[in-house]
Amino acid sequence: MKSMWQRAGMAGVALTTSQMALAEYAYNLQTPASKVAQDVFQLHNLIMMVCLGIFVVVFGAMFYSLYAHRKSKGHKAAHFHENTMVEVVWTVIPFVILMGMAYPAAKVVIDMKDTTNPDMTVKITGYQWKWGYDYLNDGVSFYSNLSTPQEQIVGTAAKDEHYLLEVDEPMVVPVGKRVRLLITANDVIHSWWVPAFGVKQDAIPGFIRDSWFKADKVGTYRGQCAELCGKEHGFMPIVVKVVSEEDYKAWVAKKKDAAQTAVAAPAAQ
Amino acid sequence: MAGNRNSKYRTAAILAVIALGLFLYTLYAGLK
Amino acid sequence: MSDAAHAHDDHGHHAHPTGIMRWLSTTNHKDIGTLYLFFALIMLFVAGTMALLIRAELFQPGLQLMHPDFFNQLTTMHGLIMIFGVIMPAFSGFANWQVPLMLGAPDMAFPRMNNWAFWVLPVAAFFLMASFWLPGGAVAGGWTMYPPLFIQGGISYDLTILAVHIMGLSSIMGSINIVTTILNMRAPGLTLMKMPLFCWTWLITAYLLIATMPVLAGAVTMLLTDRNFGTHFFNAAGGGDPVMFQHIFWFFAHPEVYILILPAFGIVSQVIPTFARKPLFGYASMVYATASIAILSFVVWAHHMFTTGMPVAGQLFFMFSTMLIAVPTGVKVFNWVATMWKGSMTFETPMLFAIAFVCLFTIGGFSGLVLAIAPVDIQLQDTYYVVAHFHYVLVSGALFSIFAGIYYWLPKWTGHMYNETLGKWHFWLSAIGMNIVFFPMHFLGLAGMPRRIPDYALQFTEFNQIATVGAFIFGFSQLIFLVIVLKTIKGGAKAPARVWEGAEGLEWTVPSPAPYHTFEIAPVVK
Repeated sequence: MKSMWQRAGMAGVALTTSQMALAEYAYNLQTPASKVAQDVFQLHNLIMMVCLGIFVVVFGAMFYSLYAHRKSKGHKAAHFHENTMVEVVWTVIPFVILMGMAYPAAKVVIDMKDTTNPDMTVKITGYQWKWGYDYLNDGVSFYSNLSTPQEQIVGTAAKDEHYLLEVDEPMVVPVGKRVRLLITANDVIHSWWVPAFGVKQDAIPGFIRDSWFKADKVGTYRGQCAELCGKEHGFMPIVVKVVSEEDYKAWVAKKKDAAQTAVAAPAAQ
Repeated sequence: MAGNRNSKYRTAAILAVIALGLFLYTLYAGLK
Repeated sequence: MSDAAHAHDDHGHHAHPTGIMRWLSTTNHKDIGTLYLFFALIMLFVAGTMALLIRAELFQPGLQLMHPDFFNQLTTMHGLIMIFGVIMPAFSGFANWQVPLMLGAPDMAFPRMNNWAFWVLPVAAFFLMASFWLPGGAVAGGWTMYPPLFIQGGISYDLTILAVHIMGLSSIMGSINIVTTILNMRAPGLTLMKMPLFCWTWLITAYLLIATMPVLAGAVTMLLTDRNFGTHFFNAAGGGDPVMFQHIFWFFAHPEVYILILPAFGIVSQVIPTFARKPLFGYASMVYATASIAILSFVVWAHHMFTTGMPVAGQLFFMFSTMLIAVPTGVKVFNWVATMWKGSMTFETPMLFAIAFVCLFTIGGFSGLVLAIAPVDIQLQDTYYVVAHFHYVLVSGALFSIFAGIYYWLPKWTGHMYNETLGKWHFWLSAIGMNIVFFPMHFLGLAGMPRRIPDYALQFTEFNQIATVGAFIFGFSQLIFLVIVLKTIKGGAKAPARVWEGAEGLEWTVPSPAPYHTFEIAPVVK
């Protein structure tokens, strides 16, 4: 029996140290780039602390018991088998803890759902297998396709840094502006997700669902389709470039120019 | 056990009716 | 079922069929239990192989082994077979073997329906497996079968709907049998509140099945008619709504996950008191907690739909109700620990699996609580975090409890002790292997890796590689289990009637192996 425990312990140590010796690992949510994502990040930290606390208390007791209350140690079994007071206590305490978590969570829910007072609106359409962006205020429309070459996917070329997370035409938005999203789909259910903004909204054919985000910092943020939509579900990423207000206006002007000089409809698939 | 035999068919029949009813209700609810 | 006096006369006058006909025509609860368990074991290896193929493809970024479409077929079928072909039949096998023995009943209430409930399952399994060879390949829309994607698929989607109907009928027939047996055939003196907890958990599970399987049947029927008969239940262009499918499906599927775990709670509640040599702590609380979980399970379904675009009130309601379910579940965990507390414990293989269950299932419960918090779920829905969560509750939860139950009751069923050393090897490799596969998946989900993708961005590589290595360790360890089961059936140290020193209950009063017919005269329970 003792050797079994020893063996398990050694395996655990070996595993952990070997993991730490290897490359960088991401253990938490992505770095937030919006207040909503920040709120979610902190909410998740809070829940993790609570769960860790409960885990340590309960399983500390259990592992102690496994050691101290063993027959091989000569421990004789007690005979108690119920206690109403204890049942009440360990029903009420978790309930109170949950209420403590529910309140901050509810506030974030309400904030996430509040799509009023946008600075601009973008309609997003999910297709098999690409995204379409329509800027309702600025009159810009285009498709956004995965731009990673097939050779990289099948392994005949080396994969670049943003393998599977790069597109031909990213969505561009100005920093610090409240962007309302009207999300729908053309065929099956897709889901538009950018982790850094804390936004994920299912794209449902025949219906429009709204959501919003406000990006805090200039930068490029990447996400993926988050609802199984067929064979290329893993190959229709989202890239959002957050730029300064001037850069955004310049981009809009360029897009409109290109649309006017283009002979046919916006770039097909 | 004979008394139990009658009540066991009754128990089964009630449960089967519930199952069938839920199935039909689901279809009806979908139609609405 | 028949009068005790008649059975006594008939026995030995009519020959039982032997060979294949015995197994095809048996109405004996022990035989049918054995059939369910062997079926589940075979399906475990089939679906497990699919998992290893999936993990092999995911070992590195890039597509090395298969087309994305085939990958989607594997993930879909892995899920369908594990749920409907492994976990549910295995628990049905336990119910068949143990419920009549624990109640002092001679058999189930409807032995012939019992036979049908089993034998339709291999037919359904055949349809599912055959669909790989049909034009278009097997179902690839996820076990959750969401339309409109599910409407696009080929002929195997219709065959899968048929298989789901068949498996649903099997569960409904089995559940009617179990409820009726428990309510109508307990030995005199065995009140409901004296029943082993395993019978309580199966009674409640059976009610859940009767309430939810018909709803699933309705949902997949609507898929069938949308696919073939021009209806538009889930097609917006025709006035329907794809999200309605999700509501109906999850109304079934959330209670379904409790169907997948309640019998596990029952098994563990039998094993722990035995090896702690102490009665289950808080029997009445355990009954009420199980019933509360079952009732609450009907009002939480939309926590699978937080990203579909629900109004605020909906998000809040389902978040609160889902968090609430943690309370009775926690009560059960505390009661198991209290059962161990100040007991006199030994650590044979059933107890090892039961202890691992309590600890690892709770980890799965915590990740479920994290997912219950709607704003956090927005980030984690459809990522590997969800995959981690449900594998913790289904593998180290349901599957480990099945292992615990097999090691616990196999000596009673076969009359032979299993090899304890091999059992411990199976346990440690499974427990450690399982964690290597699934713990990193929490990190993958947090880092942003979606689920149901055959290829991934480079930053997800290391954890995927660890998970794949763990999967092969875990998968191949199950061969040890197969060897143990087959060896124990064939022979081993002779098992006494009361196999385990601390075991309580009617099943331990009959010899090992349990005679073909037991309790033909009902015992009187004080």
